[in-house]
Amino acid sequence: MINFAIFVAVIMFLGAVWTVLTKDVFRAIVIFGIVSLMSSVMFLLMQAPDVAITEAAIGSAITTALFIFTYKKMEDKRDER
Amino acid sequence: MKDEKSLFLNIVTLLILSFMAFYIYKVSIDTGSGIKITDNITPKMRVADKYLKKNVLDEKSTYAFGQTAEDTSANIVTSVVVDYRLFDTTLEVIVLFVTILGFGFVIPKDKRSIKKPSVILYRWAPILMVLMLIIGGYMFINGHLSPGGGFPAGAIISTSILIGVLSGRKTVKSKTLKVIEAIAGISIFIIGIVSFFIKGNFFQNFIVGDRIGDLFSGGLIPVFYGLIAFKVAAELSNIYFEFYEEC
Amino acid sequence: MTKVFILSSLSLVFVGLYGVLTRKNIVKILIALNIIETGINMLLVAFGYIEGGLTPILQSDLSIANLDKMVDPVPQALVLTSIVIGLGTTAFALALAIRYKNTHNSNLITATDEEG
Repeated sequence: MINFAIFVAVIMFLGAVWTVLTKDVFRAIVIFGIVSLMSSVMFLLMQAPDVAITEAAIGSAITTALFIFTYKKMEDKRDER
Repeated sequence: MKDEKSLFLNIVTLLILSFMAFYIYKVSIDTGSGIKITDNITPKMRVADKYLKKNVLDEKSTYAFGQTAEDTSANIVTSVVVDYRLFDTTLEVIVLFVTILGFGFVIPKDKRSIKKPSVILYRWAPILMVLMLIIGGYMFINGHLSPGGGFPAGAIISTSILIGVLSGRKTVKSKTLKVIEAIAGISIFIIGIVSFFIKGNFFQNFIVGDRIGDLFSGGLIPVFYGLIAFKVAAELSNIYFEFYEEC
Repeated sequence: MTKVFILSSLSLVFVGLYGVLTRKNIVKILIALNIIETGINMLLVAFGYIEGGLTPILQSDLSIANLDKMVDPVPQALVLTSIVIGLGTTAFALALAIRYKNTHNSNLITATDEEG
């Protein structure tokens, strides 16, 4: 079990670093969704299934959707200029 | 963009942050005479005596699976959220309402209109929406037995409305959402006042529970979780209607 | 196990802090803030973890016999509400970001009024 925890933690850390360092905003948003999903797996390993379900539903799905909506709205403005 | 690549600044930031991270890790792992956070300590060392004596960890309490207890919810997290700390939860829902209100004030009012999506999404959207509604209802009805609860139930119900928005289907009007939210928010406090007159405490669980593990053993917990779920779902669905036009 | 959890959540917090301190794009700063929030939530739950702990749900007689070995449910209940509040504040910050883009016509936090 600890090997799986380390594996998930490494994926999460690399995803966070990639999110911060990449230049493309849309790519950063999608990889942040992956980081959030991996953190949901970590909550499950911490024996907290309630928090895991909430994180998967809210942190991973709805937050990513909101960021993508905002990105689309900002891109619209750039096209008008 | 040029400042983003300034090497000196980045290196200084990395050094300071890694030093802080190392210090915090050292403090939280430390098992010396200082702060003990992650030792193997029993709940008796963490929880106040008053709660332990009225709760199940007392030696004299005869507590077995399938019998009644003080509050009969099998999920202890649900018991903490709804039975002991419902004030936090209701005030938190009010905080969510205020932030969504500010969101509606601040965002510019030029909504995007949805182009008609592909046939597959358009035909499959009602089936997905019904599945989402069923899962959300299951979450808040079974919140005291299995993991889940009001907040993920509200998020999942609002996701079904999101699918309806993205596929160009007509689901609900935003005025209906506001009415649902107001009714849910008022009835939480009405139930709280009723429980004050019946039991003497605000938000106390006045329906006596049954055996642990039964569906209707939680007393007021499914009622409160249902109201919270509908309030959260209505508030989150308002966000999508601020971004996209209703059909 | 506890060390893995604490190390991973702390690394998330400080990667997010690095992003907040050095990035210039306003949407990326908000993403980094969300990373910090995820890390803090994980840290709070990790403080309540016990080695080999059980899920705080009463499932059978076996779990009632081992009530001492359950993980702490109170941080989980607090984090449950904290995630929802985080979504609300993120939505408000995104609305502010859209308004910023409309007035300054730029995504960067170094934009001046002359550009708009």
